[in-house]
This record gives sequence, structure tokens and C-alpha cells, in this order.
Amino acid sequence: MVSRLTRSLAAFVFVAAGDAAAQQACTATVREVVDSARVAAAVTRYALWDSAGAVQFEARLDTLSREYDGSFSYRTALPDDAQRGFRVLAKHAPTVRAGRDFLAGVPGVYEGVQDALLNTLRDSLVRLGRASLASPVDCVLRTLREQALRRQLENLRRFERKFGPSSVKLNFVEVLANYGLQFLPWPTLTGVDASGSPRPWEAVVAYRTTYLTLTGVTGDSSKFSPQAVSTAEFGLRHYNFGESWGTGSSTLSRMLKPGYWSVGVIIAPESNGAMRYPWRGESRWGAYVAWGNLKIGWLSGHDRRVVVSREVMLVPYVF
Amino acid sequence: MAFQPQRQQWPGEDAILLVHGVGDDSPGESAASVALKQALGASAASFAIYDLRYDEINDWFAEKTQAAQLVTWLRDRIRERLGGDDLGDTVANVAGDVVWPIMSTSARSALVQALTSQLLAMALDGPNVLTQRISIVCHSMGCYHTYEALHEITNNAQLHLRPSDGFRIQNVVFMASPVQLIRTVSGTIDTLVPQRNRLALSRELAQPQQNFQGNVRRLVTSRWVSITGNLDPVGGHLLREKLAWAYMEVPGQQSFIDSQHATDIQSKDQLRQLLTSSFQSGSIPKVTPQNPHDWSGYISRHATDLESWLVV
Repeated sequence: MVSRLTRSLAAFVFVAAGDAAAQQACTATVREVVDSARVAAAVTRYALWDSAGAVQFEARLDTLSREYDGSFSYRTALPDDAQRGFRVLAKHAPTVRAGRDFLAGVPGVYEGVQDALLNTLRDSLVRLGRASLASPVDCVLRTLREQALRRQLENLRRFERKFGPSSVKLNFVEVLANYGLQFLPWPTLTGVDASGSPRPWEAVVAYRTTYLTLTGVTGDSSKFSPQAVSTAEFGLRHYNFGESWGTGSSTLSRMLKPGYWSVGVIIAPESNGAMRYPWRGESRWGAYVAWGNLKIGWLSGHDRRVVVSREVMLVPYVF
Repeated sequence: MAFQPQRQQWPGEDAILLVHGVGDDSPGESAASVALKQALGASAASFAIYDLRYDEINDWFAEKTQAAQLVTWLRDRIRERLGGDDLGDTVANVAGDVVWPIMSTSARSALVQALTSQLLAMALDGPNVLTQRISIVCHSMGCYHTYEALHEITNNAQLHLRPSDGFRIQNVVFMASPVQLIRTVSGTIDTLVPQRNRLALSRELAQPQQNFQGNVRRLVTSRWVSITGNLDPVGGHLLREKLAWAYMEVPGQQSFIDSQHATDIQSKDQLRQLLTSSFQSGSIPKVTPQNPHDWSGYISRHATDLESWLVV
């Protein structure tokens, strides 16, 4: 794998762009990493190492030189708008992946060199005033830490989307349902994934009395009047983590690109009306889909009809 | 607005992260920061001091679950038991806000990521990896988050903050830490705590360290300090009695237990003086209650210690 990368990539450059404008971008080549490490070992006289440790260190540097030979490319200078998150990272996926390959390409070799410089030789280098010999490794670390920081901030932005002020408030039963899902032994739809990002789904279990439908007026087939329909809702809500979703400044833009949508089943009693028990009589079953706050559903059974609603909680904790 | 870590240029090679407890989100420079600068004296100017507050994240979860009222109810009950003074408020706040990181894996992850983001930002703001020195001073619930975050960065290779990545914490100073208290309580109800085994405090309390290619690398290189007061229940004491089930004891830690007083009268002489002056002036003797959990109080009492630990 390493040789394939070596052949295919032209220049080995680490670039840390830095989040703060004032921060200087740094660059480092693999040759600089290796050369500075060799000098560091020499000036500290392989501090604290036995001969085996020194031999292992040199062998690792040789491996890095041989396998990469200054021809490995790892460019991570993401554009300023990289804060937008994974979408931008995805655009740069080939280079990011190449960077990971560099760290994992010869397992433990680069990390071993880094650890030797930053731990074993650390005190000696600082005492000798030669901390700058760690600059190439420092540059690699800054690059990787900037990526890690961007990932974490993106995760936190997603947490805010799912749990923050513009998310849907949960009723008491939903709180219990979503709490219970955390105990499932396999990776669930609703928890946190291995990278620390929240998963986009949450359970919907609600009683709604805000669905509306149109019914004909007795004696006048040309007229219709709205009627409330009470339902029980069981479904899943999905949060759209894309940065342009759920953040529109106008009502229209928020309708077109809402922060969430949901889908599920609804159960309604045999007759329409507000505040009815959904399982009363011959219940009607159906499905609903919500796009942002707007919902539309369809009920089957003896009185089929289309129902519409808005995502609204009338009584805190309840429905 | 999404959480953003504090960024600043370091004036020198040292930085301190102040991890606040809950309900400590007043804008501007924190009282703890002011007290710490006083403790550091002239050396304060060479430190980059960061404040980490995370009440906003707690609030997301409280509002989402509409549990704010439940938490308020819980706080009120605790206040009734402990009195409506500052201490009652503090204990009540801690009890309310410990709910999220214990009962919600999402809240837990978000809070840890807020803290690790701040550490990443500090590492990026600082000078060369070999010369930067970072210390943490935390208080109350901030100690719990610090404990979890330090173990997280030691184990998570993706953050590049492990000891083998050259990242070190020079000193960590826990003030009124509820780590053991939370450990005991969450252990008592462990079947109700989702994925409790992923909490660092579900295991034996220990300083974070990494086993790297056969070498043990400690994250905290100089001091792991615990300071609490003998009247501070959050720190594991009740009426001057140390509660073994609530007091944090980590192997290798330096422990300090302050002798605290419920009021500003701390000796018989002071009391005699107060009564005498009151008798002479004909005024009512003025006795001010002290909040044993107050962070600035801890910092002021240990000003000399902090200076000797933090100033290299």
C-alpha cells in the first residue's frame, strides 16, 4: 500500500491552515521530519535510551525515509469554509484518507518517532534550547488537531440541531422512549456514533388532537367544514444535519429546507373530533409524513380521509 | 449559536483552563479568573487563562425534554432540606445538572466534546508542542467533566491529544470535586444509567495514562491535586465529617481539606471583638454566612499553593 501511494503521489507536504487568521500556516515534509528527528537524537545523545532503543529509533527513521522518500503527499489545507463540516471534508476525502494512510501505513513507525521526540527526548531538547527540532512533528500534529477540532465542532453543531432550542420538544412518553433506546445492546438509530456525532433519529410517540380534515356539510354537497381528528402517532423523526437545513431566514426557506422530518403510523378513533381516545370503536389506521412542522396523513378504514396538522405541543409534557 | 471554544494567543508558554461548575455562566471575566490572577500575582500576565462554561449545553437537554420544571422541583426540594442560602442553591444546581451527563449518552458526549474541543483549541493556540504547558483548575461539576475528558483524550487516538502525541497536562487541580459522589450514586442506580461502563468513573478512580508500545505515559505530569472543604457536601463532607463514599481519592493525588466556617466569625477572639464593638456602638452584630462551595474562596485560600504549582 505504501509503495502504491509513493508512486501515485508527487509531493509530501503537511499544511496546517489554522483556524485563527493570525495563525501562521506551517508546512513540513517527511524528509524534514526524519532529518530533524536524527539531529534531535544526535544532540541529545539518544538521551535515556539504551542501545536497543537507539537502534529501533534509527530503524524507524530509515523505514520512513525508505517508504516515503519525500514523495508522499498529504495536503490538508482545507478552505476557510471548512467549518461547514463533513460535507467539505468529504470533498477532500482522497487527501484526508491519504493522511490517515500515512499514519497507519507502516503501523507504529511514525507514532514511535513522534513519541520518541515528544516524550523520550523532550526534556533534553527543551533543556538544550532545541525545541525547534520538533517543529516538523509539531506541524503534523497541528494539522491533525485542527481536523479533530473541526470534527468535534461539527458534532457539537449537530447536537445543537437535534437538542437545541430549534429542535422539537419531547413529551414525557417520548422522553422515556428515547431514554430506553439508549439501552439497546446494538448501535441504535438514536444515540451517538463512534466519531461522537449524534445519530439523526429520535422516536416519536405522541397523542395529537391537532389534525384537521374536511367533512361535507349535511344538506349542502358543495360545502365543507374542517373537523379535528385525534390520533396516536408512532414514528421516527430525522434531523437534517446539513448546514443549510433548518437555518433559513424566511418562512419559505425553512419550509423548503427544514431542520427535521418524520414518518410513522397514526391511529384514529372511528369518528372525528378533538380529544378522542384513538382506540375507541373501530379504529382507523394510516400513515403520516411530516416535513418540518407541516404534517400530512392518510387514514384508512371505514372513513378514509386525508388529515393535515402542524407540529405543535398544546400541553407541556403531554401532547 | 453552536458552541465555540475560546481562542487566544498565549503571552508565554503557559495556559490555564478554568472549568466552571454549573450555573456559573455570568458574562465577562469570571470571579474565579480574577481570583486566580490575584493568586498568580505578577506572573499572571504570562499566562493565557481560558474559561470553559457549558450551561448552554445542559440547557439544550433540559428544554428538549421539558425537564427544566422537574429539575427546578428537584432543586427546590433540596433547597428545603439544606436551606435557601448559597450552599443550598449550589447543591441543588449540581443535583439538577448531573442528570444529563449521567442519564443521557448524548449529553454526556456533547459535554465531553465541548471540553476536549477547548483543549484542542488551547494546544493549537500555544507555542511549540515541546514548550507549551497547560494546567487545569476545575470546580464542582466541572471536575466531573474534566475527569471524564482527560480519560477520553488519553484513549481516543482521533483527538491527537494522547501523551504519545506529546500532549501533557502539567497540573490538574480539582476543587470541591463530586467525582466520587457521582460515581457512588450512579453505581447505586447502575441499571438505570445507559452505557455506564463507558464512563471513566465506572472503573476504579485513576489518573489517566496511556500504554504506548510498552511504555506507560502519564497525561498529568506534575500534580493531581484535590482540594475540598470540611463543610462542602459536593466535595464529600458533611458537617466536618468526611464521607468515604463521596470524597474523591485518586491514587497519587495530593489532598487538601480546608477547615471551613459557616460564618465569617472563625475564632473566639473574632466573636469577642464583634460582640464588644456591637455592645459599644449599640448596633446589631453583623455575621455574614460563608458559602463553603464558593470557587473564589477555594482559590484565595490556596493562593500561595497555586502560585507555587503553576508558576514554573
